[in-house]
Amino acid sequence: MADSGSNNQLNPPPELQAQILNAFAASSRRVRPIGSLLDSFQNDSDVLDANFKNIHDLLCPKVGCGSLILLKGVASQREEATIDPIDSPVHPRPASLPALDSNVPTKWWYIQGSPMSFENIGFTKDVGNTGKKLLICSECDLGPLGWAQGNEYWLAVDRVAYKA
Amino acid sequence: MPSAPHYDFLIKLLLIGDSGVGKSCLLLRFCDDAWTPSFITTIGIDFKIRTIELDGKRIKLQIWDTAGQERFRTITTAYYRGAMGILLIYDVTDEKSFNNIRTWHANIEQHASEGVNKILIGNKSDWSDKRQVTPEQGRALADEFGIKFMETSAKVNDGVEDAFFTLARDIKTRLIDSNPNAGTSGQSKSQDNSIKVGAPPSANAGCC
Repeated sequence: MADSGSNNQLNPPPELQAQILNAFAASSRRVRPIGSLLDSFQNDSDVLDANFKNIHDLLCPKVGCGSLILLKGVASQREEATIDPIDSPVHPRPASLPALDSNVPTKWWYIQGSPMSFENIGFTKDVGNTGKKLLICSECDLGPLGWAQGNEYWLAVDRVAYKA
Repeated sequence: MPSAPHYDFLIKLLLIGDSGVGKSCLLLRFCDDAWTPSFITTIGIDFKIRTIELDGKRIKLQIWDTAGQERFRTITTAYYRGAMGILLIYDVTDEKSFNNIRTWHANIEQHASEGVNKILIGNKSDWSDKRQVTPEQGRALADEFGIKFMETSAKVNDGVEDAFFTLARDIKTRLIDSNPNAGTSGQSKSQDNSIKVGAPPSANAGCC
């Protein structure tokens, strides 16, 4: 966790650092991208390519936020049982997020590697002592959008929006 | 094997201050207590990743949230490792959070890299009817620490950008204007995990 991605840590030239935080602040004022929810597609398969990679950028589904979470082609879709529910009394689902049906396998966008694979994302602290973290939008805190364990990450396919 | 994510730089920032002063709000597009999902309060945020683009460079910001450790008013050394800038935040409507800044500052002095850039921020400046700490008090404390001071209102997004910009300017001053040799042996000198300067200062480094 603390060292996530540190192997890749590079050092910015000083003339760049002066502008970084300002650009960061400005990034919140940009025009928000528009996303479509999964159920607006005719088929669920419309969001993936032959290799099950996401063909759209993945966005925060909150209207007015639309934070860019993941670039297209970074995740691959997997169907898995909800091993450990990402919603629980401890971390209940906001009404704006769809429930995950625990009776059927859940479809996830699966990412493996550095957390820097994400464009914008938030990690909670570990949930209990499960070693799992919940994933939230880094710009509006909406979540849980998925979960993470070690260097593996799962985003629920119907808790993200797809950039048009 | 997954391909390594592409980016040019990774920058680490810390937000430090008592619980409830609105640290996280400084990063949020919306800042409304009624909005924050309750589980975040329960579990706490570990860190966030933000990606910005600047002059064609992709920059990853890793922003550490210290929530959950505040009640001890101490933060483990690991959080400070490699930090480039620290925003030290209190709530102008909560005098206790202001008084506790001294403890936070001492903690930073003890654990953070020497010379890490800091800024003191009095947040919630829009809550004028509940104000307990004057701007003069904030400024006096910042002067005592020898750091910059400003008030912000994350709620109305006032001063937030200035806060980040001021910190950035200070980092620039430290790394370029006041420390012309910083880059020449930056990596080998960084045993204290201070911000490392990868490129030697060039002729145009002091241009702005």
